[in-house]
Formats: sequence, C-alpha cells, structure tokens
Amino acid sequence: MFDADYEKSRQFAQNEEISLDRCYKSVEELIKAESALPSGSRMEVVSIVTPNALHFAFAKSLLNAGFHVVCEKPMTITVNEAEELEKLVADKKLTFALTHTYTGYPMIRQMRDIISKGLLGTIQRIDAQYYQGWINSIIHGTESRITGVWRLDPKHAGASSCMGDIGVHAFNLIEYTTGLEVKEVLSDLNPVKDDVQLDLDGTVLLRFSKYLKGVIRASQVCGGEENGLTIAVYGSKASLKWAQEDPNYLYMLSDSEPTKIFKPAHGFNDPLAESSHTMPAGHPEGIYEALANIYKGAAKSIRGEKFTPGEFPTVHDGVRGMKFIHAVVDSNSSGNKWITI
Amino acid sequence: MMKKIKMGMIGGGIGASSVTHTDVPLEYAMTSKLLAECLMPTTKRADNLHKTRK
Repeated sequence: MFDADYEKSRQFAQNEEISLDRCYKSVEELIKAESALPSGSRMEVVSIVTPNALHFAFAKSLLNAGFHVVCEKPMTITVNEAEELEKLVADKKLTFALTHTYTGYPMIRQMRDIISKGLLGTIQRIDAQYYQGWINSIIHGTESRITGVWRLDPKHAGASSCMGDIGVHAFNLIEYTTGLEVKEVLSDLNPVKDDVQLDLDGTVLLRFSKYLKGVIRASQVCGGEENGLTIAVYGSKASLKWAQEDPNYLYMLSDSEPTKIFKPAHGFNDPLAESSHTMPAGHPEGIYEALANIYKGAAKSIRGEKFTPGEFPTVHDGVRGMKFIHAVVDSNSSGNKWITI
Repeated sequence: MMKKIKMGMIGGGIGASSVTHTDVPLEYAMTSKLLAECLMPTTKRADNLHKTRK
C-alpha cells in the first residue's frame, strides 16, 4: 500500500513490478490478506513511511497482528502512544526499528565506540546542530502552499515541525554516541511567521548532570543549508567532531596531540563501524548505506540472529525522542522554563 | 544462504522520508544482502543490482 489513492498505489506497484494482488487498498486489508497467506510467503515486516500522525495506528495494528515494524521518526504524536508501542513490542517479542538513519553511518558508530571506551576523558560539553533551509521558499509563498505541506500542519506532523523532524535527529545522535541521557531541556522556538503554527527554528539548552551541559540548534529556515547535521563531544582529554555532509571523516581533537582523522574501512576501527562499510577504503559511501545498515540490523533481529546493540534504533529510542519533542515544546510554551525529560 | 526477509511498505507517495523520496535505499538494502526478497522493489531488480555489486 504505497499511497492513499489506490490507483496511484497500483501504478507505483506496476512501476516496481510488484504483483497487483499484493497491492492493497487499506492497511486493514493488507494485514488481513497477508495474515491469511502461508508463513513461507507472508510478509514478515512492514516499513511505515507515512506522515507522522499515521505511524501509531498502523504500527499498533501490525504489531498486534504479529508483524515486525520499521517506522519513520518521530515515532508517534504523543508520549503515551510511544510508551504504548514500547509495551506492545515487549509483550509481542517483535522487532521494531526506528529509522534514525544517521546512526547507520560507520563513523557515528566509531564515535560511539571511542566514547564508550572513555578515550575522551570526562565529557564536559555536547553540541549538536541540524540546519536546513528548504522551508524558506514555502513559508514565504502563498497560504495554500503553507497548508499544502503536511509538516507544517499539527494534525499531520504533531506538536513540532523543526524539532520533531530534525531536532530529534540531533537529540538521538547525542544519546546514541555518548550513551548519556538528556535530563532537562530549556527551549526557545520560533515559528518565523504569524501564519505558521509550528516551530521552524529553535535552540535547546541541555542538562545531563551538574557539570555536563550542551545545546541543540535546529532550523528549517537557514537559507542555503541542506542537511547540515553536526555533532561535537568535548572531553577533558580529547574531543570528537562529525558532520553529516562529510560523513566519512571523524575528527579527534586534543590539546596535546595533532588532530586524528578516523575513516571507514580500516582494521583499527570498531567491528560494528567496520562492518558498516562495504567497499574498500577510499570509496566513499553515504546515506543509502547508512539506511541500509539500519535495515541490516533490523533484519538480524527479525531472523533471531545475534546483533550488536546500536545496530538499529529501537522503540525505546522512539520513546526518548517523543519525550524530547514534547519537553521542548512545553518549555517554550511555558515561558522558556527548564523541563525534565 | 542467508534467510531472506519479506517486507511490505505503507506509504511512499507523500515524500515522508528518504525512503520515499527515492526508493534506492531499499535497493541498496537488498544489494547489501539485507532484504533480498522484499515486496518492494522487485527481487528481479535487486538481483541485478546485487550482481553489479559483487
């Protein structure tokens, strides 16, 4: 089922050479028909790539019917929905992968390994930034163009546009690479125009502990920016910096040594980082392979094979993301107060 | 031989994600021997790509 319009869905299926008898009019029909097939030919997992407001209902139905799920982020609209899915996944003992794609990059996995080994010393500062500019041309167009973009409509997008779509990626990368949890947030969000209901830009101060703080900056109105996701983790002994638009280089900085540059496809890397790159060294890979690595981890889990924690974002990462989004929105709407996640 | 996984998909026409902006990621997923018998896109196309990457 590839489109709400059945004819468009059939056309898509034909273009992809998919049998039309497995192209369904509704999710209910998909579940009913596939459940009736013999186990050898029945689908095992479903990838949900719809607007945000549809994730929860579809995921819940699929899990209840015994299917594994791969789901776009943000996972749900509310925290309660996210927690309900987490409980359901545990009860059903099914695989749920959330496509925080950037965790599939080899150098992000290398970053996680370096930090887990304590090579940065005591972490003292964490910064993440995700700047885009694509909404600029939309919000400065006509009203119909604004309402035609589902990400700007709370009914479809949820409580946030910028933080819900890309700020949450920065949040996820921070918790993924450091293994730390953000405890409190204070946000200042900006819808940029009167006729925009959701945030398109914002800054979030982070508190991890008494002596560890950080910041997330995210924007959809930074003209000329594309997918400018960066993360920097500063420690007492060394620091790490990585940028999504140049993903095959991880920089390790120090006050006492020259800068080190980690790259994929070298034996000194962490085994998970090393297995996340398929070509010989010096052949750049990118976002497609990062996404494929998420699916690879999910596939191992679905098959019941051993996999490394961190091979794919889980339903718990989805719960954390929803708590972050709502805490950020609550902080802003309550006069920029600190909110506990 | 690695067990193949059959995957369905909901959405794809609205541009909700990088998957739907272009279906190539799923092709790559399959060429990486991940989901080599997905419902989408076709095994035929995936097999061709897989041979290319060998």
